[in-house]
Amino acid sequence: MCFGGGDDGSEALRQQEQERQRAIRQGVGLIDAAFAPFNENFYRQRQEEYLQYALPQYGRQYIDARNRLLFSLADRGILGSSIQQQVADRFARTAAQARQQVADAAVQQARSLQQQIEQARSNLINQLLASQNPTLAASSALRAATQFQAPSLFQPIGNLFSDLATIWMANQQAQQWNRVVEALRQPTTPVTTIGGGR
Amino acid sequence: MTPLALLSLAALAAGTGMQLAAAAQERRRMNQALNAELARQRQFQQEAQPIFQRSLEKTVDLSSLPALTQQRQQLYRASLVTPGEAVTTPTLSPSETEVFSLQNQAAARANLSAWQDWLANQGFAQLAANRWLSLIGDMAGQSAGVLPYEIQDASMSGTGLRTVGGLLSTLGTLGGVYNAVRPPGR
Repeated sequence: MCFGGGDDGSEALRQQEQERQRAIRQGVGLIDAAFAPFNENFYRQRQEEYLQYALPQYGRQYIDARNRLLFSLADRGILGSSIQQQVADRFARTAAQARQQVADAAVQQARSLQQQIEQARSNLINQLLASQNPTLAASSALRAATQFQAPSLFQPIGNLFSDLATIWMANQQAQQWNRVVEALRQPTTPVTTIGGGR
Repeated sequence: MTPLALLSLAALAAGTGMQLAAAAQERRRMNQALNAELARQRQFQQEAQPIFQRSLEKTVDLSSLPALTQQRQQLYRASLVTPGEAVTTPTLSPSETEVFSLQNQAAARANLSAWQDWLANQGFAQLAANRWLSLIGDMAGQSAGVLPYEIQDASMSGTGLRTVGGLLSTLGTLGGVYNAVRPPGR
């Protein structure tokens, strides 16, 4: 004779909850495994790749800007003067800042990628909590991980020496203008127009 | 004492005993359910505690800062080296004063940026800890959510015993009453 009571509803609920927790832990394990390659080395490598991509562009801009400055100095016959040293200091400052910008951008690239990856990981875990389906979570994790491992497109680094060029051009135009004014004061001297060269 | 009176008394005693046993069984089952849940919650807590502790320790841990500063210094030190072609061009070499100033500026920038790197690392570590703590919190919450149903089931676990006990008690009472009012000699 059985003197029991109640039903097995709560027992079934408890079992269901334990299975859910098992599925979640299994799913988290699968997500962690899929995201394992995204470690410190991966992000450092990303930083290096950005530097390898951006530094040649910086180098070309550096050489162009330097050549323009040297040409300008030679053109005005002030090579070797004290102005040249000022220009060289100014150029070194701009170049160092530009190079630091490239270095910062490399760190930023790696960091922003890490943010995206961590966000994707959190989203997958939320999906896992909602779906309680570790298989689905694992396939989504692998898909996301593969997407992040593919090379991304970088924007060109832009003109890092534009400030220097702008200041230099304004300076040149001002000097041209001064020459015109000077020429107007002496009517016998042929007048040079702005932008028309010497 | 007549046999009927004895039987009635025995039925009443057994019924009362069964009802008391049913109440005790329900209490025991409810306590079991509660203790089992407490144990599960304690386990969740034990799992969460080290994660939180590590996160807390990491938050005030500045030991990684020198390495981060060094990494930034390396990045910025390279920035003071001009591309190869320019090094051989003496006409645009910066003055020593300018180089010194640039070196100081790079070192200061490295120190400042290292803090940003440290904070970013903290953020990522805290995000990972949050993820785990949220998961554990979710599991603990869901587990606690089953407890009221378990308690309800436990509170009804003695129903069968109580019903039989109640029937026996009623029979005993009725037997006792009959024994008291029946005509003598029957």
